[in-house]
Parts: sequence; C-alpha cells; structure tokens
Amino acid sequence: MTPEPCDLLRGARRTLEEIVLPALADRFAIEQAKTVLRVLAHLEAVVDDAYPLEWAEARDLEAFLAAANGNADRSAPEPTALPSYRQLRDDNVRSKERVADLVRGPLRARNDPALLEAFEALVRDQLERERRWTSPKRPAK
Amino acid sequence: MTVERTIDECLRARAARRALPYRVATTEEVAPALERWMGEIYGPRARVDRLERAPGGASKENFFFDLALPDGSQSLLLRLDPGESIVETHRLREFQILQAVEGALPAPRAVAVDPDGDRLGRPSLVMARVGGRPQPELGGRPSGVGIAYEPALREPLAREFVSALVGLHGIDWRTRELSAFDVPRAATTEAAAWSLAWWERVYREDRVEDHPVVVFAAEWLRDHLPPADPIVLVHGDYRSGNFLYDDSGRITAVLDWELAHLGDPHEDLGWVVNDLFAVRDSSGPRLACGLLGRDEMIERYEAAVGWTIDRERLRFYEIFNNYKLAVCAHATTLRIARGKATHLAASMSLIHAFAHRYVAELALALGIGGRKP
Repeated sequence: MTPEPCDLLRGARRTLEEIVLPALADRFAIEQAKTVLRVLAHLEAVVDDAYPLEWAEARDLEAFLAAANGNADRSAPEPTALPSYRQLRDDNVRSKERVADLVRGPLRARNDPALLEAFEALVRDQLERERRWTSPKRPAK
Repeated sequence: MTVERTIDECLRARAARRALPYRVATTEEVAPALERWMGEIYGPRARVDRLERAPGGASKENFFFDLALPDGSQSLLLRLDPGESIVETHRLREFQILQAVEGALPAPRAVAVDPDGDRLGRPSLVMARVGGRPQPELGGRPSGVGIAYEPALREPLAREFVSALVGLHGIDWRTRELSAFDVPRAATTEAAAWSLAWWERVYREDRVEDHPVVVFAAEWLRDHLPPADPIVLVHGDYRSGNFLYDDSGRITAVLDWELAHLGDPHEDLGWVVNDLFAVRDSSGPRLACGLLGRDEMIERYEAAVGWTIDRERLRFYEIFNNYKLAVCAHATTLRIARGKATHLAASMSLIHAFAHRYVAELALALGIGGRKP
C-alpha cells in the first residue's frame, strides 16, 4: 500500500525543513521546529521495524513468563491471524507488569539461579531491541 | 519510605493538575501580570521590556526580560512551571537554594518567587540572567549532555568546576533559610532512602509501562542503602551543560538548582563522573563532564575537600543516579509527551528515545546484561 509511512514522514520533514523553518524568526520556535525535524527523521529511520521488534518482544516475554511458571518446555501456539500492532503493544505492557511482579518477588529472593539466568537473557534481548529502535541509522537527506 | 514534605506537595499538585487543561502561556498574557508583580517589589515605575521565550532547557517555561527601573535596567529570567515537566520540583526550594549559595559559588541571584502560582497562574521564580555560554557554539544544535569543551579552557574550567562543587558541599546550611527542605539524620541511611523514595514514586506515577531493569534497580538500591555523613547541600544535577562560562574559562554561574536537596556529597560526585556525561578526548581517554579523567576528577575533589571518597558509597550513587536518569527518560518523558501539559512535547518524545542509553548503562552497572550504549 502506498503511501508508505516513510513517504508521509519524508514529505512532512522536507516541507518543515525547506519551507517552514526558514520562515521562522522566533528563537524558541526555531529550536522546537528543529526538534520536530529530529523526531521525524528518527521515526522515518525506525518505523519499518516497529512491528517485528514488538513481535519479538512478545515472544521473549511469553517464553520468560512460561519459564518462571515452570512451563519452559511448553511453546506458545502460533496465532492464527497476526495481531494488530496495538494489540501486541497492549499485551506486552501487561506482560511487563507480570515481569515486574516477579522481579519484586521471587527474583529478589535470589534463590533461583535458573530464573535469574532467564531474566538476564530477557534483559539482554530487550536492550538489544531497544538499541535498534532508538539508535537507528538516520535517513539520507 | 517517605519523601520530603515539599516534594510530596508538588507531586500531589501535579497529580491534581493532570485532570486540568493546560495551554502554553503567551508573552502577551505573561507581561502585564509579571509587571504588576515586579512593581510590588521594585515600585510602580518598574517596567517589563523585551519579554521573550528563552530557547534551551528541558523543564520549565523560561522567559528572558529586562526590568527597567528609574535607576537602570536588569536582565532577568522568569521560570514558569508548565503543566508537567521532566522533573517536578518546587519553586520555593529553588529560590531558597539560590539564596543559600549566594557568595559561596557563582550562581544566579534569586529575585522573587511565587510558589503557589498566585501571580502568573502557575508557580514561578524570577532570577538574574547571567552572562556566559553553556557549551561551545554548536551551529544551532540544541544543548545537552556529552559536551566537549574548548581544549584550551578545560584546565581552568576543571579547576572552577571542582572548586564550586567543594564550595557547595562546604556551605554551613544550618545557618541558611531552608525551610522548604527536610533534613536527613547524619550517619543514617535516611538521605539515601528519601532520595530513592522520591524517584520510586515518580516512576510509579509516571510509567507508561514497566521496564524490568528499572524495577530490578530499585530493589537493588533498597538492599544497599548507605549511611550519609556529613549531610551537605547536594546540587542534584551538577554536570557539564549546567554551568555558564566565559572566554577565560571562568564559570560565571552554576545553573539548574531545582533538584537540590540535603544529602550525601557522594551523590553529586557520582553524577559528575557518570559516563553518560563523559566525552572522549581526541587523544583517547574519556573525560568526566568533558573536563578531567574520572580518577583525576575524584582525586582533585578529595584533595580540595579534605576527605576520602568512599568507593562503595560512590558506586551506590552512580547506580542511583542512573536509576534517576532512567526514571526521568523512560517514565516521565513519555507520560508527559502523551499528555497535553508541556510546551516541549517533541523534545520529551525525543528524550524518551534516548532512554535506552540510560537503561543500558543501569543494566551494565548492575551486572544484568546490556552493553555499552
């Protein structure tokens, strides 16, 4: 489908950069317009990765929570239809609440090396995804 | 655990404001009320001229203005609370700390405070505007962390930077008017516990989603609270970018006092040597706050203050400081960017995009994964 998200973002970014920004005189407005440009450039660089990264996060969270509940070998069934991005996000927010409860409870007791190991793997993979999501290569001009 | 009275007060006020509409103030709205306020202090002939919104900053709505008086003019800065900001702080605390440090180190002169928002509709503070720059000219890029100072100015700036911090920590705060501050008991863990309680509460109230590293960090900190002795005035955000300097390498003013509190001096030093504020020198070593190598920064502080830094306490506060950064960047920025209560919505969403760096640094420090951001 077109326009792709990047098409829309690129158009907005160029108009702001080439038409709107040069016409501004107020120093604060100029500063904020430049910040908006950086936001648009960032979004343009990462938007295509949003779904796959959120999907990978969902699988990792499911795996960790299953391991924490003693069901490490039971793999989650593949969904029959792809969930929407919104549904993925909402599910992941709920899963992270459950992870937080585990951190404050069983994990804090530090008497379960396997759980700690699984937690560190979860953290490692999440941080790597966050690095990809927040430190992308900027789009070409 | 508890938080200080006035921290609790402003967090409660913020919670109440979340239900109310917010609109960015215009200079046309601010000017007459500001002039009335200044007139009450300086007399009816005081005039507010050249009021303009100030660039820079990531927290309050800042306005430059000239106050014209019969015997001359003063350049002043108005700091007005937005609906919400990256750090929720109390204007009376900021006013009192500016008065408390006057004469001990370079800082803007406090002029007036309205902690209840009676003058301009929201809490505000007026202070003197000080000459100097926060960083080398960057071609219009926004200021921020990781500043590389002019090589020729590094040594004089380093001397002044350490000297000002030692001057702050050496102030006899018992002789100052600090009624908005609670005093933690020396040689107890109260100072660390209050600081942790403050930022845990912010995390609890602001988070849009939990982050496992941030939650883990809070548990670790709770298990490792150190005692504080002596109790000193802590700046709370003492770093590159938060002072102004001139061409000779003289610091003209230490800025951004809104996070100041009474606590452990290791907290400030842990902030100074935080690797997130460091930059790599062209010859290789990383420079804490763009000024000195980490070890040299600590040694110079120790030599000037006359006592030895406790490395364990320093480690606690380095982790605590990364926790505080992670709370602001991961939780608060997104909360307020999603709301409609800030004049810096784009900046907040962009800072949130950098939260990963703070969280990764925190995970590394805790030894639970991650790699250098």
